[in-house]
Amino acid sequence: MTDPWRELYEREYPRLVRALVAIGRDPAAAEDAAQEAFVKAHRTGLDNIQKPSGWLLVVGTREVFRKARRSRRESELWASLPARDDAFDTAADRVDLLKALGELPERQRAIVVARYYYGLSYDEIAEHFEITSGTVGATLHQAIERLRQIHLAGRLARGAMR
Amino acid sequence: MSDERRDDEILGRALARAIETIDLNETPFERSRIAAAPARRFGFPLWQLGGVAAGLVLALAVGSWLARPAEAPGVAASPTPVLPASSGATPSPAQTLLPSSSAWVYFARDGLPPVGALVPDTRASIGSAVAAERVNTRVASLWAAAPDRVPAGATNPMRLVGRPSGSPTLSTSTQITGDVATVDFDVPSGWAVRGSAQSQALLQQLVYTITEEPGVRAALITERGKPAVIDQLVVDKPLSREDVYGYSADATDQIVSDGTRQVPAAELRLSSAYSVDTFAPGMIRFAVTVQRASGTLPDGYTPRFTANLERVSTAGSSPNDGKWRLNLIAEGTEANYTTEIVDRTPLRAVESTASGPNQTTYRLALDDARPWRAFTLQNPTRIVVDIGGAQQAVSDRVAIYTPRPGATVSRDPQITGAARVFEANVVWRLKDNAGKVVASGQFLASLGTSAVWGTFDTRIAIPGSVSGNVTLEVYEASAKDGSELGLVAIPLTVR
Repeated sequence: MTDPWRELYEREYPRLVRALVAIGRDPAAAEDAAQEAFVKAHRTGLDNIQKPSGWLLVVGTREVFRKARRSRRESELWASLPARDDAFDTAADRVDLLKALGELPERQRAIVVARYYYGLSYDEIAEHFEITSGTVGATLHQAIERLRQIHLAGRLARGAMR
Repeated sequence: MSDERRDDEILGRALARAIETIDLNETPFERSRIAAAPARRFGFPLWQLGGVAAGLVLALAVGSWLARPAEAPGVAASPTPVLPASSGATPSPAQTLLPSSSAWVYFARDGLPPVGALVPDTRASIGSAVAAERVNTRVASLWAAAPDRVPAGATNPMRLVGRPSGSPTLSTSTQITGDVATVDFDVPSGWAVRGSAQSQALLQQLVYTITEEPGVRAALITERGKPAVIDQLVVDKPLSREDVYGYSADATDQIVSDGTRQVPAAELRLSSAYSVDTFAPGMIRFAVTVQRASGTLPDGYTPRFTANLERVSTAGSSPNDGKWRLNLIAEGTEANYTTEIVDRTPLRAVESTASGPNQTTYRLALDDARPWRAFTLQNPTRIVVDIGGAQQAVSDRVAIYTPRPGATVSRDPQITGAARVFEANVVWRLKDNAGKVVASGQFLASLGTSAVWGTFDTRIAIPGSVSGNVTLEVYEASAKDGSELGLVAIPLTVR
């Protein structure tokens, strides 16, 4: 008999931690928050959770923010991000994008990650974060616009230094 | 998909790929915290404990509310009441000085939601431990309210309703199921109101008065067990305050401002003030002034804040908790954290608390969820939350504060208000009483394309050929197809 918890954990854990690193910028805190989210899910019971992946993301995000408020870590953490080959984006670009994401307000970060990394629909995000889907659209648009600006500025700065 | 949307998607996907490349230290399931957790359904799951605790708190809170003398109107009690606005904690014993039997009921207003006031409790049973009995008492007290109890500008169409012969008063029987109160009337001579305006006014004041009971969110009004027919108005379903309050737009969930040119939160000092009906009828203005402990705020500084509207849980123990709560969270600290009972519709109470290091949360207990706006003003720097306004003058995108509906204006009237429209572009036009456009134009709000509203204070020119009754329409012209969004139409008389 397969354990539904193991199945859920193995399917969702890596993605959840990555999302929480992107949102909270602190790998250790993200791991901790992801574990906490699973513990909370476990206590609540699978029967009581309709969409576990979105649920875990929201609970994990809350944990990350709670912890981040307790101790603000420096954003130098990005320096340690590994470079990987990718046909489309250079490693520097990726680090830049993640850095730019880190400069958005907390809530925008979470919604951007839910939309683009988790691929949740506006309605799903609205439901999980308890906002209207109109607010989701507006927040996303605003966030992406800022992301674009920050990212562009970063690129220009790097170009100038070369 | 528009180019803009597609660009957003491309950037979003690049970001998703970037996130996917983040290196992980993957903890295997065997070493995860859930693998180590005790088997579920062992003893009391935490959430059940939570339920028990909540039940206890509720019981305590209801108890303490019942212990409060009749309706506990803060205003009548003392100039500086200290009841907590939302915690439902034990009131101070000093409250026994209150008038012993008054009921909080609502009177109808033209172009505005009903207004609450205290009237004598005709049945001397507002202190009853039975919620349904308190509802009956408020309805009977509304019916019996003497004309001098009706606030200025309000009416009491309920007064017209005839009582059953042989009965000294209007009696109702109420059943509360969940958050719906079903109130059955016996009105043998009918509701006595005429026309849709008066019928709606009566329905509004009844729905507001019945739902005043904590935990009750909707009122089903019946006549001897059948749907009530008030003149031509058939009431066949439970109605909440928002169903009858007369605004065309729903209230926003939340407004977040990221602020600009931030200064450390530890240096910010806040002070707050409220007013009701001052800047516009039916409107609360809540303003938080932001100052620096020493020195001045940098040029171009705007505060960072979050404002959101939430339903007060049905466990709310006191009428002063209201039905809705608007939370405003701002950076900085107040010198005095207080709770003040206001009891001026729709504001029941204001509470300020330190909600974190250098962070203050203001909680406004509200009677209903009318449309609201948040924006910032300069000199001095303020965060402003405006809740409500005249029904005709407020939409989800535009709110006009002056001129007020029905006002007589000159040929260059001053137009003030707030807007949340694309690129801050506000469009107006003036129609004569035949519906013909006689003047039009546009002006800019202080801010556009933003969650935070912009404000305006401008003058428009009305041609000399126009006089008499006109309608000023203000709206956003859709950037997509020019259609009119969030239109408000204000009847005016040109002098």
